[in-house]
Amino acid sequence: MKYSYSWLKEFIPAIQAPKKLADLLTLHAWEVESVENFGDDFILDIAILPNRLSDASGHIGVAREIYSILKIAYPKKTTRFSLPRLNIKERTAQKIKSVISVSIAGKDLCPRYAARAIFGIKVGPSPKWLIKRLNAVGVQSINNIVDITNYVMLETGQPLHAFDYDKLAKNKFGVAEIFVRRAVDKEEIITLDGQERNLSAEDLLIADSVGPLAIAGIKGGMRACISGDTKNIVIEGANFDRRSVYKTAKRLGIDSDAARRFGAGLPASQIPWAVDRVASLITQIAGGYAVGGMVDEGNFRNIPVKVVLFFAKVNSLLGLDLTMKEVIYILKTIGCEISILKNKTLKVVLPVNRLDLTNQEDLIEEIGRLLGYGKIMAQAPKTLSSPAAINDAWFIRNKAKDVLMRSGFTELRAYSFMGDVIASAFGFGAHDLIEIYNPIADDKRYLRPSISPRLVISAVENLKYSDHIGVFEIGNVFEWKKARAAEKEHLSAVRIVKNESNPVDNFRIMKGLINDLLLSLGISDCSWRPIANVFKDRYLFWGHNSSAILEIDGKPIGAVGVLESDISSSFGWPENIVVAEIDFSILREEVSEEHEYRLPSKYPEAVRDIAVLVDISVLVDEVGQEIARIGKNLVRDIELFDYYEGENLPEGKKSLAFHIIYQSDKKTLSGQEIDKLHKKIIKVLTARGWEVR
Amino acid sequence: MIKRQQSDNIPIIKEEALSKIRIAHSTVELEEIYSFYLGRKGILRNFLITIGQFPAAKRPDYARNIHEAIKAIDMAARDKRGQLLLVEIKNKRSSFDITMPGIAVKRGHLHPLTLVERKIEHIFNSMGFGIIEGPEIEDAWHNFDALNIPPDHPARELWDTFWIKSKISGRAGKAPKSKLLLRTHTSPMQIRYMETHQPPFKIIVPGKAYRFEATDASHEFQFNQIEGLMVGEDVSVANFKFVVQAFFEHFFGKEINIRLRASYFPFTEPSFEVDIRCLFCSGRGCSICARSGWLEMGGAGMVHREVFKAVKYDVSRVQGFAFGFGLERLAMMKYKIPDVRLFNSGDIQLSQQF
Repeated sequence: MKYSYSWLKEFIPAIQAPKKLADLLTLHAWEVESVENFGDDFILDIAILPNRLSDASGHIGVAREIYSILKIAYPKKTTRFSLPRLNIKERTAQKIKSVISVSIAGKDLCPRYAARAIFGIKVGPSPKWLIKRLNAVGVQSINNIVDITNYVMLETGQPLHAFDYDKLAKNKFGVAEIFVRRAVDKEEIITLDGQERNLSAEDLLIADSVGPLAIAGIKGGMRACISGDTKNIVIEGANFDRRSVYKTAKRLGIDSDAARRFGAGLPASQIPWAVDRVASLITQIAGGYAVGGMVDEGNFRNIPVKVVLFFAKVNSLLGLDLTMKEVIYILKTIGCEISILKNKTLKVVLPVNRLDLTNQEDLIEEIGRLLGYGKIMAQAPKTLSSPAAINDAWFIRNKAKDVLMRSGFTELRAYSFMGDVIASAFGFGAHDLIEIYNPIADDKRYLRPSISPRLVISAVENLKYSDHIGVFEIGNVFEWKKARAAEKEHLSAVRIVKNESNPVDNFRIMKGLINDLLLSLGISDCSWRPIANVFKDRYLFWGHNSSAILEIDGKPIGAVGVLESDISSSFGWPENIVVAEIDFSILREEVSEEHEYRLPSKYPEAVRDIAVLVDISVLVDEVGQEIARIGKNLVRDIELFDYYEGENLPEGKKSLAFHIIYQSDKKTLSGQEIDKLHKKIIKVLTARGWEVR
Repeated sequence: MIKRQQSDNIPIIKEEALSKIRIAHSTVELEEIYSFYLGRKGILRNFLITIGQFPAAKRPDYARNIHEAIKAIDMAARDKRGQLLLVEIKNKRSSFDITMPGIAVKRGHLHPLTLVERKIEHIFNSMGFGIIEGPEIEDAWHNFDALNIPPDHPARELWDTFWIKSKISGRAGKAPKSKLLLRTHTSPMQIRYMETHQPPFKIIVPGKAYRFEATDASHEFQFNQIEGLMVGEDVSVANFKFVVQAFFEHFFGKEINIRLRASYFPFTEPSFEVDIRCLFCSGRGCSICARSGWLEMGGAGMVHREVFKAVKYDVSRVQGFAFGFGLERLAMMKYKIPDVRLFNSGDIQLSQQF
């Protein structure tokens, strides 16, 4: 908000120079975002914090704050704060009650409504000094009456409104009757900006017997507005329920100076002075006279709030060593009244204008900031707590990242969002997707249910730097599980080879990577199954004949495979894209820190090769598992060293060749023993219908 | 090959040997020359054996001549050996050009935010802070109400929120916004942690947060925070200053000047902004610190009594501090990354620099 330096100086003649003042405010109260010249004045743009709009949205409030800061920073200097003198031309013979009456329906929404009537004014341009003040803080001049209400709002923070008295409906006694009431559903008002507003029963109105005059605390209406020939006016100064004003302003989309102030909450105690200040300026500038007295309705009572402050808490919370005298001095400068109770306890009567102060810690904050947090010296904490718990998720995630990184994969991070185009291309049904109520862009309408789509896109984009790309991300994914918003952590890795159309090697490298990852996390009980056998309607973006599901303990936790060629071709991507995505939340539950060293066998190993001709549908794993089953603990390892399908083989067949490594950890196996076992294996494989060659 | 010469003229032999040594090309050649004259069966050794057969009168001169020749040849051979070795070593070394570029062993890279996060976590861990994580989808109660941010209050506008659409559609067939949202800060984890733990404790909470706001070089609608929370019987602002100072000094690896400035957050009282003396201009004022000499690092304060009440702590017996720093901002400072949007750009060239 903008504040004029010369205006502030009116209240505190001994104020600091503008730059110095800005530094003090920034450190102790609010950040001064800029100090700019405006003729012979300076404009300070001060970011008043939301809790202080209630007392500092006018120059007087900021001046009060400056006064406190100066009194504490320079206790020996004489700093004075004073309000301007009021000078109202008033005719007490005519009583306000004979001119206006105010009745409030729903005093909870309007605790105070005050009004004065000023008759015989002359609407015209404002004097130059007034226009300059308004312009300095960015307000346009309209006419002397409206300008003065704005001026006093900028001075006190209290929004004020002027009605044309002659346009108000009168009762049979000639009294203008003002009602503060809730609107009737669908009631309409044309506001000062010429717009027709549709009201609801939640909105509070200022009305006469004919209809609405203003939306309370938000905007005035056209009907009783001040015009060039207005002679007699009513000045309104009121207080409205913060939440009611806030909600109505939000719903109607009106962001007026008044609505912002009322929405933050204002002290009702400031109303009479503000109304009198308007009356004083109007009768001085626009002529006329004030009718005797002021209407002051509502159930507001000026009862100050009391807080009990434990003196020891001040030093304990701040880490300072203040005396009680110092604490009392500081609190008095902000307008508190203090009495000392027994046991080093203070009874603090809070200043009525400071709605932000409600408890002990609020007062401690005042002490801390006004004194300056720079006065507090760093001090090592005494509090001991049990050793920090090890966070397994964090530890395992870091380990996984290191494994992937060492294998040549680069970590990327991406937005957690996804749009319709990608969602439907990758086969995600809108039903399970969590939709954002207010998305920032169309391609960020949903929370991502999977990391892979975005990662694939990024990987493809990075092909401009290299012909093969390996990237990964570990992050959270989101999906509706029945009515619950489920959030899980996933790991996704993508590997693209640009100039190689056969994806087998790429697939095997990715599978090898995931195997290595599992091993380094201490997970050995895993198996791979063709994707087509497991998922019917999920994981649709993996090619069904070129992808595998990873199972741990029989539970599927992810997949590795070639991206469905329909997807890559529709986006014009290379064919050879291999994607792995794993449910990291489940994976980390399976991690085992236990790792037992096994002595390598002392006895020699012997290698025998075996080649098998099988149907194309038979899996390498099936043959391998069969060999292992027969070999039991005498077969240490089985390695596939050749895989062939194609020319010179019967239709629908493939040839697999394995090294079988025989070794016992108890004795040296004799040639005879090995031959016998090898023959047995051949026999069993042959019995399965697989031709051993 | 050197031919054997029979001569008893010692000075001639000596000169002959020295000249051969002078022109020798390699250490191998030199050793051949050496053993021809001075080896076990060398010419001059043989002469030594024959001294006794010489007439007694000429014997001393003869012996001296032989010894002098041996000494001269030995010295010359030694010098020459040194020279030849030097040349040979030099020749061996320059057998390839070591200024050729190195061949990189291909490895991957971690994202700079991961590196910065690890560094931060390591520093706090070493000060005894536990590392806690929490959900990114939150309910309004944990994100706002429990943190003393009431509904229909302007303070709530400090956090522009992404709301989750309800699963159940409303009257007009459209799904209304639900009570679920994307957390606007990591602070709801203060609540979640305190609901299930009793003080004293000290934790940090790293994680993603989201705000519905326009992006530019220094603002992102999706970003990362490091939340901190320390609660005990007597934890003070002075303790916060100590912890935060230690953190920044370890993080930036140099002495750091800290400034706490008055601020407002509904969930802390007192509240402050944490500034550090500008790292780039040491406080003289530069474009990075907007000529102020200070860099804003994040918000902090003493946990508000309403927050303690929300988790059913006895407000008369506990006090503590909380803070929230932006991970991206710390990474940008540390690595001089100019634009926050680079972190989520998916451009591999960002990570590859680390």
